[in-house]
Amino acid sequence: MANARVIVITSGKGGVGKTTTTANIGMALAALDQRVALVDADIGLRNLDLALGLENRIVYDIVDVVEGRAEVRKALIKDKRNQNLAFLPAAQTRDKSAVSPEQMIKVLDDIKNEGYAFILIDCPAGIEQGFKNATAGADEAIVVTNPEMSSVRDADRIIGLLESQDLRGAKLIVNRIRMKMVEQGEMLGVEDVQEILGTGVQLLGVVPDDESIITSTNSGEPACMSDTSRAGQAYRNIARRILGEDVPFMQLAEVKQGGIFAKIKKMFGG
Amino acid sequence: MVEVKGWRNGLLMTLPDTLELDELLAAIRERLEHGRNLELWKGSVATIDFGARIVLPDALDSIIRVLKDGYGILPTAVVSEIPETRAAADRLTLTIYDVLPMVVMPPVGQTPEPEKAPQIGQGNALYIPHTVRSGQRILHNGAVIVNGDVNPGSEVIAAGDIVVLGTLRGVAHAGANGDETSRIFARSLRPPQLRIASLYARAPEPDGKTTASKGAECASVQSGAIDINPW
Repeated sequence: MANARVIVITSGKGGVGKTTTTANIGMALAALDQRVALVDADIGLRNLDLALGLENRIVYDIVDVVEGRAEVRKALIKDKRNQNLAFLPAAQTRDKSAVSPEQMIKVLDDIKNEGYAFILIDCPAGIEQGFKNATAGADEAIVVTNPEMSSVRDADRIIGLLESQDLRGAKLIVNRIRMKMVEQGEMLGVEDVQEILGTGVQLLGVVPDDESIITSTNSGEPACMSDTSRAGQAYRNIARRILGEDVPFMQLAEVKQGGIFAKIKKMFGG
Repeated sequence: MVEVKGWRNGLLMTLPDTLELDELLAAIRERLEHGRNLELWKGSVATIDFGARIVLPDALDSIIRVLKDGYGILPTAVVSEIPETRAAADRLTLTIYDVLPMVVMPPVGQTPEPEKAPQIGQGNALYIPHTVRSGQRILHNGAVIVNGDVNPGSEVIAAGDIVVLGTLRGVAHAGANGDETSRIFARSLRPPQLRIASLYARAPEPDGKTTASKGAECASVQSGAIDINPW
């Protein structure tokens, strides 16, 4: 069977940017001449199709494949902009119980046989069946978190669950950071996040909070395609790092000051 | 069906009462091969909970052989109230429990009298060589040492002392069986709550003032309340 890097993009917390990240990294890798397949594992609440602007082209989805009504090759939708990119949509009219981890692994094997170098799995929020399905066939994991305590705590839980499933070496993306607030001590900085999650979790990228993401989701044009979007630039850097390139982190001007904990007397957690 | 989880310093295998022997062995194999990395099992000790199952010596031999030769798992103890099963385990000099030995958790506020609290085997310490992550729960009938952090959203519950060689941000409950002489040590003590025996202390509300880094601290019971001192 052909070999591919299967990466699950997960977070625990909802709304931190998993789908945006999946769409952008996928598109950026395709622009770097990689053949990439994206899989939306959020059955019942699908969003990846909207992020890619391909929602009108869905004929078959992952549940059709799993229940034998379509082959993976027919269900995979080629991107309208770049032939290197394809995506397998989730079903909207079913729910997470429609697919099992074993079935998920079979679907991934079929996708590998179509010759893709990368398979990115957009994981749903939570830790239940959806998470188990999405992580089933993955070899690598990217954990997305926002620089605030709820999402960091959920990310920590997710990393623990990944480690217990033997998915070690998870990489971290800190998304929606606002450097001005970090400098004023009003937002967690990247170092604060790393202090809790542990330095064993390698930092893959830092994506600034950017209004261009709102417009890109509505228009179905991933931000990494824009020259003016700073978030897009961050995602393009992340794609290059995934390919092994040593890309310096964007100059988001983080001032070293020990982060939020030196400023406010606060007991958090629990 | 067959359940395997981490327990104490090894594994706890819970086997179903029904199933013929060959089906049971197949179920065991299936469960152990479900993980991706079979190296994970090698060298583990295991406690096997047989429930209400009657296990004769030959059957026990087969089960142990599958575990040892197939996966490198060494059963050292058995949980069973069934006489035949206990006799079979006894023949192989395995430790026998009536029920799973757990830390008895008195409800907060109702602790047995200190004199009646069971003697804590402080020599029976559990060493955890990594950070305890959110959602993980460590429960041990002795002292617990964590070489790492205890992250928010996690719990460490010990019958004895708790030592955190990192930052404690989760909930720690020492002396959970009623031993008020138990203490909690941490290189950085920042939990939402500390619990020793039946006493608990809450972190102060933020008052906007800055806090200098405190250094290592120890929480212990002094005059009926939890006190925190530099360590």
